[in-house]
This record gives sequence, C-alpha cells and structure tokens, in this order.
Amino acid sequence: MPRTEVGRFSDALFLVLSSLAGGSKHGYAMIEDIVAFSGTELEPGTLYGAIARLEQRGLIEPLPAEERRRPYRITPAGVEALKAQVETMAQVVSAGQRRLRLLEGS
Amino acid sequence: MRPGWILRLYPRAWRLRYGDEMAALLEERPATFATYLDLFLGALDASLNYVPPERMVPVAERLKADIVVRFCAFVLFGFGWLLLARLNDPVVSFAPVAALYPGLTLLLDAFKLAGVIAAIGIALGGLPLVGMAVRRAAVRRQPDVLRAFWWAAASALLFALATLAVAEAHPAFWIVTAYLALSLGLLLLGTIAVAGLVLKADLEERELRRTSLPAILVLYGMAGSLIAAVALGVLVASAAPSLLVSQDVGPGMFSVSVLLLGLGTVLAFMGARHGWLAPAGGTGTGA
Repeated sequence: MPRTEVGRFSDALFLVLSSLAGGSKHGYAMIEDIVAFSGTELEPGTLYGAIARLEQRGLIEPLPAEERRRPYRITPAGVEALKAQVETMAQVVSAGQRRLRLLEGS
Repeated sequence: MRPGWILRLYPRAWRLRYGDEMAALLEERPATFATYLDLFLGALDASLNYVPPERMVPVAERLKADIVVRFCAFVLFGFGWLLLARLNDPVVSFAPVAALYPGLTLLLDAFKLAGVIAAIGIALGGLPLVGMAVRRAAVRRQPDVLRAFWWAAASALLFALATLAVAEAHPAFWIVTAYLALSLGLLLLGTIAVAGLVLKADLEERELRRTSLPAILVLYGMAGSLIAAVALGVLVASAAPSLLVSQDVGPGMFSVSVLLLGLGTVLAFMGARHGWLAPAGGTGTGA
C-alpha cells in the first residue's frame, strides 16, 4: 500500500483494514471500532474514500446490504496487505524504540 | 441542517454505489464543521479519482497498453533518429566543418550513442516478452498472436533486405523514393503487428512488469538523444549553417527529425508514468 498511491487516505486504509480484520462491519460500526482501538475518529468522507480504494484494489468486498447499511469484509488479499503493513510498522516501532533508548542512555 | 445535501457534490456513479449507505451513516452521527469539510474534500477526491467497477481495467491489460504506447513512441523516435543520423553524409563536406567545430562530432556521436542505448533497452525489454508470448501462443494454439508475430517478422525482414539492396548500390531517385515509401509502409505494418501481438498475448502482470527496468534505459536514451539533437541543431544553425545545404539532412528534414524525437520521447515518458503508477494486483483505475 505505497503512500503515493493513496495520498491522504493511507492511514485510513490501514485503520479500515485493521477494523475489518476483526470481523465484517458497516460504515458506522467501523467508525466506532476505529475510535475504540486507535482513538482516531474518521469522518464519513475519509472513511468512504478509503472503502472505495480498498474495494477497487480487491482488499475488501461488500456483503449484501442490510436495509441501507452495507457491511464489508476483508479479502485474503486484504489480509496479506495488512500483514505486510503491520510488519513494516513493527520494524519502524522497533527502530524508534532502539533509538529512543540510545537517546535516553546518552 | 443535515449534511446529506453535500452528497450531491459527489459524482453520480459514486452516489449510485455508496450514496445510500453514506446518507444512512450521516443520519446516525452529529455533523460538525470538520464533517462538512471532509465531505467536500471527499467529493473532490471522488470526482478526480473514482472509477466505477464497470469501467475498471485489469492491471495486466493496462500494462500491455502502456508497453504498446512506449513501443509506438520508440518507433516515432527511431524514425527521427534514422533521419538525423545521416547528418555527416556526405563525409567529404562534413569533415572540414567538423574539424573547425569539434563539438559537432561530439554531439552527433552522443546523439547516436544515446539512441543506440534506447534501442538496447527496447531489445532487452521487448524480445523476452515477445519470445514468451510466441512460445505460449504456440502451445495454447492462439493463431491471432502467431499471425501478428509473422507479420512483424516479415516486415522486419523485408525492411532489412530492402535497406541492404539500396545501401549496396547508388540507386536512381525513383528507387530511393520507392524505398522510403516501402519502409514507411513496413514500419507501420510492423508496429501494428507488434502492438496486436502484445495486446492479444497471454502475459501475466509480473512478466509485464519486468519491462520496467529496460524502460528506464529506453527513456534515458531517448531523452539524452533528444537533448543532443537540440544542441546539435543550435550549433549547426549558429556556427555551421552551410551544413544544412551541403548535407543530405536539410533544414526541413532536421526539423522533422527533432519533432519526431521530441514526440516520441514525450509519449514514452507519458506511457511509462502511466504504467508505473498501476497498482500491484487486482484491477487498475482506467485505461
């Protein structure tokens, strides 16, 4: 999920994929879930911009609508993309922690 | 005021796909100024970037189209290159001027070398791809791909034979004219055949992406050749305008050549940029 392809939606894509990794959800439930696990409240325009991009890339797929709400679920390709993103972030976190320890130790 | 009205700013295709669920979401949560601003930016983004599923093109098809664009760009460039490469012909009149202005030979050599680098890039990227497409077409019995290959090969062979025949003798003017007309026809036929071959062939995304590195050689070669040609033009016009009379390459031929080089280079950069932006896997956003 290179940042250049997704612009201001890159963080939103990650948050939506992470949310759907916990089970299928519709838009409102995703916003609530994302607030709960990350403290970030996505606005509807950003949320649906991310949903459209993820759907175009085959990383999530829509399920049959329940009245006016449509749930989405993560696809196997989405799981792979999320894994790759999480691994990258884990490396960044690990490097950041090491460097902070060095700073604090010096 | 509910923010539902702002959904009208979104493109129609977007509203058909997401309008209902977005409206339902907006009814469930309080709207703030940030919500309006976000929806406005979202509408702008959707207008610029949203492609409805029915208009989405598989990435492999998009990459094939980009390869064809780059190849056509190289053909345009190559034709311009062949015209200008004859600037030192006849050598008898070129050599004394070049002795006075060493920059002429330097720029002409740089122009030729950069063009050869671009041609090497085309060969490195294109030949394995064509080989793969033809082998696969033979195994899977795809007559349209094989037919395109034979047309391309026959055009290249005829062009080579005609060039050899003309180069070995000093033919009459009508023979040279006929040769040029035949070359143009064969070039057109060969280009169409290669384009058809690539577009119809069973090639996978990862195989098509292998042309990206050779494409860098092609692009740098074309850009370098174009820059050298423009510098050559400036030098000839300012220091040695007599060459435009004494050489086979007159002012008109020089201008056409630089125009073709420029068109080819710009087209190749556009094709490459389009191809490299294609997202990995799944589908792309438009052809």
